[in-house]
Amino acid sequence: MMSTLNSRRKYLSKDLFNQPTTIALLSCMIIALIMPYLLPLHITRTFTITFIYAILALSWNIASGYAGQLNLGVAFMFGIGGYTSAITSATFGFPVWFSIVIGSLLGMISGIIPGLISLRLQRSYLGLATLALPMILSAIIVNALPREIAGGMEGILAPPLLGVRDIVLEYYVALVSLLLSSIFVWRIASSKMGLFFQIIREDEDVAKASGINTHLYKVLAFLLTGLLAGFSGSLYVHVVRTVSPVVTSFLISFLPIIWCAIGGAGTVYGPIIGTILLDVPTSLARGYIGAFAEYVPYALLLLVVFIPRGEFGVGRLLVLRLKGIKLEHMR
Amino acid sequence: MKLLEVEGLTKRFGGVVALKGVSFSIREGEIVGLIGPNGAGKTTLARVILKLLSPDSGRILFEDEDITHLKPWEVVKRGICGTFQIPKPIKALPIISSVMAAALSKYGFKGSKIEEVERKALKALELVGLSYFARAYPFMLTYADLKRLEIARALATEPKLLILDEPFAGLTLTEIQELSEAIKALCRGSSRRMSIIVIEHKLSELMRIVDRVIVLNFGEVIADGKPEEVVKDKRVIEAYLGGEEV
Repeated sequence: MMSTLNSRRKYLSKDLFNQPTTIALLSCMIIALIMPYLLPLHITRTFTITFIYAILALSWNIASGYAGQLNLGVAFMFGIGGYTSAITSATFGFPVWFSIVIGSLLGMISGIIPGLISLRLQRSYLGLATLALPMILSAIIVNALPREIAGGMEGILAPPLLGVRDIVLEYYVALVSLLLSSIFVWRIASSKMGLFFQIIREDEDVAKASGINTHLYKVLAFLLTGLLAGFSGSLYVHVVRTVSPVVTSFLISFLPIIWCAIGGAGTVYGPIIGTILLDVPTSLARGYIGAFAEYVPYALLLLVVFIPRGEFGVGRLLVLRLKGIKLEHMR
Repeated sequence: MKLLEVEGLTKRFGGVVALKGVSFSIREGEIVGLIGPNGAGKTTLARVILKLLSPDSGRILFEDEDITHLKPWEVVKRGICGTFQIPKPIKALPIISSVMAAALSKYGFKGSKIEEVERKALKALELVGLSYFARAYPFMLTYADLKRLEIARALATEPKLLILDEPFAGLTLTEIQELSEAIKALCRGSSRRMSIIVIEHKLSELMRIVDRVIVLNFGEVIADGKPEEVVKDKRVIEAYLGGEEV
């Protein structure tokens, strides 16, 4: 089985493991594990939120990075997950872990909507259509759902993730969640489904002519995006302990795109590196430069423009340097 | 036995009628050339058979089954596959991956043994002489090799009918001769009696490898017969060269 997995990974995924990458990975894990004991609590909390955002970036990366379907409305699935989890736990009294499962599942089901849209619309038209989804969700939440359940514009409180407020434990839950999500995406990327996603991304006509059911796999890509986005939304509301229409905001849709662009879309590590590189400085800068911190991601996006081969993603360039792989074969 | 039957196919693009009531059939094991001047509708016909385009009217029967309204991947599963006029390699992946994807498409979610798929993909590459480059990226291949890669991708789906759209375009004389031999070997050497439709402009090479030629002009079939008969057909001569013999 191991040799099969190795040979499959060899052919189907660019995320090959070699010595430097493994060492880098293990180093990052060790640092992540001991970080709460080295840093102040407020920075630990920043990393908790960042890890949850990284899961959101990973989710966007499935349908858009791997399968090439432009999704400008991942906040739709993030919001569905967040609201479902908050309402299930706060209003109906279910345990938080159960609410997160329900939030994730509903997030996955909500992925059918952009999935079906992708069968009719491509590229920028698909992007525009998905852009509208979070706005529609926000309007429904504010105007159609009863205030006692969804809280209107003010939102509702959500129970804490672990029943009690424990910043360090929440950090480890977020870290483990990110690790599991990464493994989940890696398994998809190095599977038959992941290969089909990449062929669809590169050329949909070639995919059809090769016998790939592009309709099925595009919908699947959005279902998987919805699952992870719903999961990250569910985790988010229980860490910040509140949910409001802010979870469907344009920034929630737009920032994962920048994170993936910086880190390297179409890879497992790219969204994680991009999110950490951008979100941590932004969050920390907020304490010093206030609202101007929101411009940090856009400024860092200039890295894509100015550094050599920046379009491949800073994170991807770093990892390829580690592996000693040259860039000539890259698209 | 008739493998493919096309009956009265018509395809319009707005006011332009690309195919007008096209009818013909292909037998098992035949290599058929599909020729015609530029704009005759050859590539459109190929794309309609492959279901990358839907016809406005007419029927396509494959092994006596009506496939007119099937999706492209369903047609591939039934045994029809084709190549593109301009090669469309998957640049981000090694060539074995795109060929494996075509081989994998035959299987459902479960049951695809990766070793078997890998073997089929390598065999397809071997048939076109590209097995040495299995792990290379498309940018490392010549244009002729990219043409071969297109054929390998199609072969990996184990087709009963292979449609090659201008496989000789852009190749040198030597490359054309090598590819012609490879195409003949595909059909003759196959224990499954694969049929091949070759769409081409390079008539001299094409006539050497095909059993039969179908000629399209302005979306209509104007000749269908052996190469030596078709080249003497007045309508074909008029269509191609305005009176000079092909």
